[in-house]
Amino acid sequence: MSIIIRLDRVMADRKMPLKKLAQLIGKTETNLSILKTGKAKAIRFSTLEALCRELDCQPGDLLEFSSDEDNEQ
Amino acid sequence: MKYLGRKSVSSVMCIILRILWIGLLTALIAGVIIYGATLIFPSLTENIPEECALEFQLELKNSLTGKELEEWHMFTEQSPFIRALVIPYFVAVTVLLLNIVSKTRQIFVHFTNDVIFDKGNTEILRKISKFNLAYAILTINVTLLLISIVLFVFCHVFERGSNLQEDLDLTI
Repeated sequence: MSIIIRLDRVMADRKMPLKKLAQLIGKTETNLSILKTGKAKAIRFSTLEALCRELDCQPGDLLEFSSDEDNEQ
Repeated sequence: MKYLGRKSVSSVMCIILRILWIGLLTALIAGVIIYGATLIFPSLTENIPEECALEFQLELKNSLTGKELEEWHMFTEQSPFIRALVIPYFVAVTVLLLNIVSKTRQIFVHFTNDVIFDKGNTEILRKISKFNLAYAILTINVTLLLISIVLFVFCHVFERGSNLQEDLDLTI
């Protein structure tokens, strides 16, 4: 998929463990792990809002667009 | 009334279908053994008490129409080899029925466990419709043929449902 989730990078920068983040945003660790590994098909605005609030970042820090051509290179 | 989940219509259906499956299997085995035995050892039918034989003939006359009765007599006059051809047909029909019952039970087990829109259920439903279609053709039953078409349509509905469910499950 061309949208890449950079949650792992932001979490590492903020030194935020998965378990704590899951508790803060009110999601299960399993669901957050799905999001982190890029297996998720969609993300709710409410989830994105909670992530940005807790990680003190912008949606652009969490999501990145990469065209298929870039992927091939 | 609760239709899905534990202690619901689905769980009761699971039990009913299990009993039906065992009954059908028993009937298949007993039918093949008894019918096969009468073909191989015709003397077995000679030992049937006259009263029972008369009762059976009377019941046959009451349940069959004139033409059907004539066909039945024609069939009984055939050689054992030709009469034995009924066995593969009987086995095929019963095996199809067993498969339909078994797959239907499987789908109800999933409903009992609250697994509704799932790819597995779609596959089971597809198999049920295929078996149903084969059964309808073998038994020349138009009603069952129409039911199989309806089941094929439902199968596609389930496919879409399971895709939507997957999307929903993977939306965080």
